[in-house]
Amino acid sequence: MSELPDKLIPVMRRAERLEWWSIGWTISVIAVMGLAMGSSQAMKTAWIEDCLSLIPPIVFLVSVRIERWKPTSRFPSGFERAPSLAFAIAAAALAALGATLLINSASSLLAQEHATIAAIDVFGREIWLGWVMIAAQVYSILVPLVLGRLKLPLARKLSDKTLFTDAQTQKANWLTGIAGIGGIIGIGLGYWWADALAAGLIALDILNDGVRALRAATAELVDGAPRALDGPDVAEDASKLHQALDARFPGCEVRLRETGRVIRAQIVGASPPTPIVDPQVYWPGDPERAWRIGHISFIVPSSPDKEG
Amino acid sequence: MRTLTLFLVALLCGCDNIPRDPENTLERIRHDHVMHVGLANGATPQGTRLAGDLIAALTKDTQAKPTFSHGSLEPLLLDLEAGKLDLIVGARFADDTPWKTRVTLGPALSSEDGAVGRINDHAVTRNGENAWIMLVQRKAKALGAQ
Repeated sequence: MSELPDKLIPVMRRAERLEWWSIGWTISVIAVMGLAMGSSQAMKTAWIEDCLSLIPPIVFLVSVRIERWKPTSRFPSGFERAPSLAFAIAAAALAALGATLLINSASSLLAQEHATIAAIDVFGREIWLGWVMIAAQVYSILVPLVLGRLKLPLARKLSDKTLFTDAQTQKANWLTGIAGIGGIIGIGLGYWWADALAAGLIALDILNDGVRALRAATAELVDGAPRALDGPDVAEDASKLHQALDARFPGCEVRLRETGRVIRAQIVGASPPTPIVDPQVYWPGDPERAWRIGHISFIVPSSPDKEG
Repeated sequence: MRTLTLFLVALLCGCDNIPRDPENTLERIRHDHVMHVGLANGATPQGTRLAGDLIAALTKDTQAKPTFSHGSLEPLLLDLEAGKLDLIVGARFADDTPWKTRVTLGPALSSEDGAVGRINDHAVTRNGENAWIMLVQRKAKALGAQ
């Protein structure tokens, strides 16, 4: 948090509050869906997804706390990379979720499982359980739809990949809810395969999101160039920074990497400017986003032994 | 979201026909006036009486005549899974029977506590034939099944 400008601290606080709300609402969705689950594959898929979608907000909340810890002798560089690790965990959760759901729905389709959705008595009146499931699914759509939309702009402002992945998970959740409704309606119309097929299609989408996020997360952990929030491509602001530093230090090698939310640059073959300047002066884009550049180090040409 | 709402409204207008059976069991029974019933060996006298009442109620509702197959429970269950039977009556199961995922057990028509646990008498239907299952279970509940 120390590297966040003052202006962004309220945004971070809001993100944290939102994540707490997110956990509360998600638990309520898990309870409602669990009660109405029955033997529908799409309902089970959606329920497992709802449970796993607790992981990104928890990981986010834990990582922002760890990030604030002061450096110690055992961790002299501080804990700025905690969000990177959190992002990798959230991405792995998303990918694992997609793969699990895909296997579940494929096995249901192959086994030609015909889901039984019978009736229940509600206040003495017989009602098809499918309608209750659809009502539960509608609730499970509304919650992540609202939360996801609230989280996305915060994730972009903070350049926080965990929060972004969380917002993506929310999107996957409400898409699964829609597919689940489609599956139950399919069963209602007598198409036994509709349920598992709907679950499978959404599982593919979740897997795709997860793999993309995992690629970006691993790139960050092995000190690759900063990646975009929404995929494995190099982030646009990082490319611009690279160009600006290339122009400023011609003939030198510019290495960019990302630790948590901030970009760190290393200029190989240049001496640090005198007097020392704030690294943010090198930021080429919107000055409001200059906090993204956290640190610039120089490896001077006469001391190759310092290169690492 | 608007499309979804419209779709749901359209669907609710036609919800009389929901749920339908993937293998058209109820439709076929009503159309052909025949239902294939398996009678499991070893039914209790009370189970046999309730099975008779249940079949009478179903016959009245569907106007279908029952054709009976007698036999041991497991071969009847396999015939039910294969779609050769529509219903099994007089079937007795333990509470934790593994069959409950492969076929649909209706509410317990009667129960008795044995030496190793409770044994329940169920009307059994094929998985996924939801309209037929709902009808059988409604009639079973009317007979006091829980």
